[in-house]
Amino acid sequence: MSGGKDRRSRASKTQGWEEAGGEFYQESYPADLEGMQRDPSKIATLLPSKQTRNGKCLEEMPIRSEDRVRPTTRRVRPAQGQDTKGGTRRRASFSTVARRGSQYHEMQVATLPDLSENLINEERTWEEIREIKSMPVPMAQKREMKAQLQNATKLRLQGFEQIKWRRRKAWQSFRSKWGEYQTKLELWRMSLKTIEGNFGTGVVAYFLFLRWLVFLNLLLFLLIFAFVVLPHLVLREPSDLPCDLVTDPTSVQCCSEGYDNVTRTAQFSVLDLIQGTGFMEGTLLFYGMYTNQIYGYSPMEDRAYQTARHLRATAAAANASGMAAGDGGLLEERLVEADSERQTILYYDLPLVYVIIIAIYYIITLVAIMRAVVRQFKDRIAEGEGLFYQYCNLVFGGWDFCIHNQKSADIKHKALYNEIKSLLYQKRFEHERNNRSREFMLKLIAIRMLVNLVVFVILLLAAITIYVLFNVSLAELEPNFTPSHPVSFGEGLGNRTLYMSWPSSWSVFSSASQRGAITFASTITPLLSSLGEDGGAGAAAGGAFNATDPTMDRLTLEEKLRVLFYEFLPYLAIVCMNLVVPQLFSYLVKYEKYSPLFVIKISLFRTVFLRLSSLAVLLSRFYFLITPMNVTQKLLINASSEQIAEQVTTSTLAPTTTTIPSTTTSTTTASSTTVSFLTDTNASFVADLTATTLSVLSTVLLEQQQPAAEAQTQQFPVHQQCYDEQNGAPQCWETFVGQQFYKLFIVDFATHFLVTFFVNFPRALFARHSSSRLAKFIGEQEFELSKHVLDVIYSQTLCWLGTFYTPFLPAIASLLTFLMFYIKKFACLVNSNPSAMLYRASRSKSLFMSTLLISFTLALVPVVYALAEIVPSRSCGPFRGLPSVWDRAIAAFMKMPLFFQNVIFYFGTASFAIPCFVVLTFFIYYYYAVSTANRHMVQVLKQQLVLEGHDKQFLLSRLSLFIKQQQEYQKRMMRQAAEQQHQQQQQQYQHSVSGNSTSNVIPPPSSYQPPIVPPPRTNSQSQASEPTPALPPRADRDSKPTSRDRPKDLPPPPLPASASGPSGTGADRN
Amino acid sequence: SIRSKQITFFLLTFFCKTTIFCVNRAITIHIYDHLSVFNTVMGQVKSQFSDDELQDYEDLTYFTKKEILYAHKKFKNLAPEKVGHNKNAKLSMSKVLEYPELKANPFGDRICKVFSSSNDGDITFEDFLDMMSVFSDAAPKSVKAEHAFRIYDFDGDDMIGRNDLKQVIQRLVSNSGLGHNDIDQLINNILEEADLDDDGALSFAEFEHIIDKSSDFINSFRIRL
Repeated sequence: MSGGKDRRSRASKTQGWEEAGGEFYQESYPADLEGMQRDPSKIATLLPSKQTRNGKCLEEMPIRSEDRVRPTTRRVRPAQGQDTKGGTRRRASFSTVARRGSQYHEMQVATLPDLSENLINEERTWEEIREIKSMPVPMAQKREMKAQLQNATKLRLQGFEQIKWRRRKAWQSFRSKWGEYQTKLELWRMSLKTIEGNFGTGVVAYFLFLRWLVFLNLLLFLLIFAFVVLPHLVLREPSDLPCDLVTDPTSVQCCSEGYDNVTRTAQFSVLDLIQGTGFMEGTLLFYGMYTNQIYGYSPMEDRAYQTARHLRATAAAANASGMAAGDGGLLEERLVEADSERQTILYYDLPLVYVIIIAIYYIITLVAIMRAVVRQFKDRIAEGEGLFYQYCNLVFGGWDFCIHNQKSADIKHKALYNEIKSLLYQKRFEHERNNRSREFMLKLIAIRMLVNLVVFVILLLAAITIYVLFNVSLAELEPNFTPSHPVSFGEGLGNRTLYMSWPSSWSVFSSASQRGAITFASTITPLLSSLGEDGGAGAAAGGAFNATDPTMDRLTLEEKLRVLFYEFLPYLAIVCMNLVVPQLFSYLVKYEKYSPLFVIKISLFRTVFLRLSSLAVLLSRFYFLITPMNVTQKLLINASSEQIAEQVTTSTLAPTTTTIPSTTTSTTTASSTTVSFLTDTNASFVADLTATTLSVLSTVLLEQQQPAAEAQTQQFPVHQQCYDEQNGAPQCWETFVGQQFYKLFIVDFATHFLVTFFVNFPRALFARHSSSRLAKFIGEQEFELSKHVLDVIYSQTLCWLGTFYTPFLPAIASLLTFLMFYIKKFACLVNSNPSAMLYRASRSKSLFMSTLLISFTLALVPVVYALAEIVPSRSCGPFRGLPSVWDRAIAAFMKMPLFFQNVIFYFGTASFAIPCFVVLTFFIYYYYAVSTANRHMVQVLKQQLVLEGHDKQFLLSRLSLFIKQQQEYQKRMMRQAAEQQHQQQQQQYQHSVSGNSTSNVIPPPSSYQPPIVPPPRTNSQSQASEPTPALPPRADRDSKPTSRDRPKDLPPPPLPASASGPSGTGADRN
Repeated sequence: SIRSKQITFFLLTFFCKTTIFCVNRAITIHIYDHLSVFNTVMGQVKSQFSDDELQDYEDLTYFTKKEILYAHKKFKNLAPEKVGHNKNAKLSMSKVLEYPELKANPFGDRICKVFSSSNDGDITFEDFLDMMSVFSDAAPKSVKAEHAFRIYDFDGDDMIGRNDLKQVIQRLVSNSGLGHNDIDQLINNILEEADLDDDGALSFAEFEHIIDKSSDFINSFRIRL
């Protein structure tokens, strides 16, 4: 009989039940009869279903050793050592893991060839030894088991199997070693343990989340550093062609040089360090300093550069002297020739890498978040039937076993109490909600609508405040600044101002001059401050207006501070609002009478909206600042492209003037100007290193020869400058935006630092050392998880928004999050008490991740828009002179082989999309059908289970009734026997007659006939009526199912004494 | 430009230095004391265990050797002299309950009873190791479920009945005064949820089923060494 088959059949459950039936009454039942007689309900524990987990795994062990053919097998009876003392029923109930594992083995074994089927090999022994640890038996027993397994003879593995096993072993030991090092190197292990011990798992989940963010940011920064920053530092920057102020003062070179000059003159100062301005602007910290050049290595490069430079100079000279078109063309040709020498080199296209790395950055982030979210989502799905197991989860998973602080334990008790109360209340609440009167409902709805309206107004006010303050600060800092979109803004606010009976402000405001705007701001800010939003800041802003215009040459310290104040005014306002408004929300939400869980959610979402709305205002502010300049930029680019188109046409008309040979072939067919420009740039990317520059250059060269082109430029009265100076737009708006995010980030961090150490800490001290109720009211703080989560997510959102413009932001974020850990740890352990609310790890994790996902998607929108639509500034950054950042990626795509392009394009066509859509729909439908079927099946099985449970209960009640009858019957019998004996004695005594054998023949009871004939074994056992053997040693009982399952293969359950003698084993086997 | 590069270099080195400093500090603070703990443990206690024993323990628990030694140190802290004489000394339940996590735990005595090899709540080092192994991060859910079931099964009838549930709840909320009605209500709700076969008690299969679906259990049923 092959062991594999045997075991497989045993694994099937029905078999087990059937087999169990036979011996069940004979063996298990009488053994426990004593206990059962005391409490009939204990029978339930004898049911086969209850016993499946007993001995199953024990069974596994001995089978292995006894299935072996060798006759002198040692007996493996691990459970023998255990004795039950004083009748406590403690069974070695073996883990179900082992069972599962063994089933897996069975699968494996079934696939093995027949030869090894009866023999155990090293690998399996090894696996079994590793499985012992999952068994719930004392260590001594485990060691015994291990020793037995090790001493047992086993098949040596041969050849490939051996190698495979060795490899597995090595891999396992490596993994355990690695795990050890990992735990050793695990960041903040002890801190986490302390926090966990005091605050439970829910709060630790928050700190783990912080750690996750640190690592995520670090990883992303390493990515950026390796591919963007490092090349910039290591590779030699190819020098660009010099600027030619005469012909085209708005060329990319000239703008860049202008910007360079600005940044280079800055001196070191501490203020700049936190503002990101001045000398900081000239570092690689910000977008502006990254080059638009393509790094390359070529011995020819220098020479080529020199030639180009020389040629350019001659061309300029020629232009100045009014050279003929033909000559110009010739020069141009030579220039291109010289340029083509540079082609055959390895090159590193930094702008392209820049855009690709940023894309990868966001993709990695998305994947990381999605992975976490999906895990949570799976849990949610597994929780499945809604909040199906909430009570069980609360009771069985409620206590954090890691808590090691008595005070926290007390609070935990209280929290659990609250949670239980609120759960029960919720149930009642639902009941109540259904029974609410209509009047009450109407009132409630009205209240809720009102509250929502108030919340909306607050959000709006917050947004407006930020907008105004931003205007104020810009107006103070940039003397040239005028509010770019004053009309729409004014209209939006006009009504409000009038409504507030402030008639003068409108008239003042409507003159959209710079002064007007400021006056407007000064009038509107006290107004807002009177609304209690931002009193100090607004008043200060109003008061400071009469100060003289700052002249940047001579700044006193006071003025410097003033500038600093204005610099940070909007951010301070944002941060203040983030501190104040949530309190307001939490106050308002009390009136809405939502269920407790929903309250947390809705206040969280309102706060998220507050934070994001302030960010949105900021972004829109940036946008309006940038757009006017964008218009000019667009015009500039259009102009140049049209000029190119002109050239192209002229070059085709006059074959002597082949301007750009590499591009003419491709561009002649192009009709629209933009397309021609695009293809031009694309092709030139293929061709050479500085094609964009060259194309503009060639335009410049041809400009004077082409009257049409001249007219073209005349047509656009383009403000011939690199940026929109009049409107106060920054020279390099990307860097400007980057600086703003940098500042915001730092301010955010600083506030957390200050609030934690200089506000909350004294409060906590105050509360701790003073016993008055007022002090307690002021000082006691709870660790409100949702608030702290928001803090972190907010700064993370800032990081996502700003990364493109400040490539170092992830590094800063990672560093500051690292420090934030300590701040929050301090806030958690020192400042606050454990919350009376129960934070569960799973719930809080899903809360973090879903909020993070929301803010990530929302942060992605402006970034994508900026990448795809907004024109990069001409004077800085890797994308100067391009219509948009994404163009660079498109250009690179156009450079790809045609086949690849076609494939990609094919994905975009309907012939691909529609079938794909259809197939996906089919899949969705299929899975939907499967899931409904499964759900139905679950329903059916559940009903079946309930029915079986009823059956079981019915049978049990019958059984216990039967036992009772049996007992009564026995008692009566005993009494009768006693009576008989008594009679006999009397008879003996009277007649001295002996030898009565009637004691064996039991007369049926006179009054009552038992319905079922009692099973003979029970009868004989109970007749013995000895008190001692009712409970045999537990090992014996445990092994019973084993012998029950395999009556043929196995020896009878050994007695403790017989374990030492292996001689009996062979004989027992039949 | 060169100047910008210089400044960037400067900033970068500054940044790197601060980062390295921070990380180093973190490592020295949090890992060094860990390491030193392990190292001193290695030095002092190594003599108490033979290599074979350690290997056995490593194979039979979810711990590595160092963690086992660390666990022994913690065990020794409970009764330094006694364990110093006999590494596998049997400590009484009241002694073991001084272990901070067990002290704060409302089920501390139950845990001791379940893991005690003599069934009376007294704990030897091997029992302690078993306990910590089950409560460690590496132990799978099913092993934890097995022991949790035995911990919650107060009367030892292999079922979690109404009385067991009542005790569990009372211990959970301590003496916060949850009314009888509330407790009954809660028990009813639990049984409604989890008692699949409707017999008024939770069998192990039912319990395991709950644990499978409970997302918190694996996090909460854990004691860090």
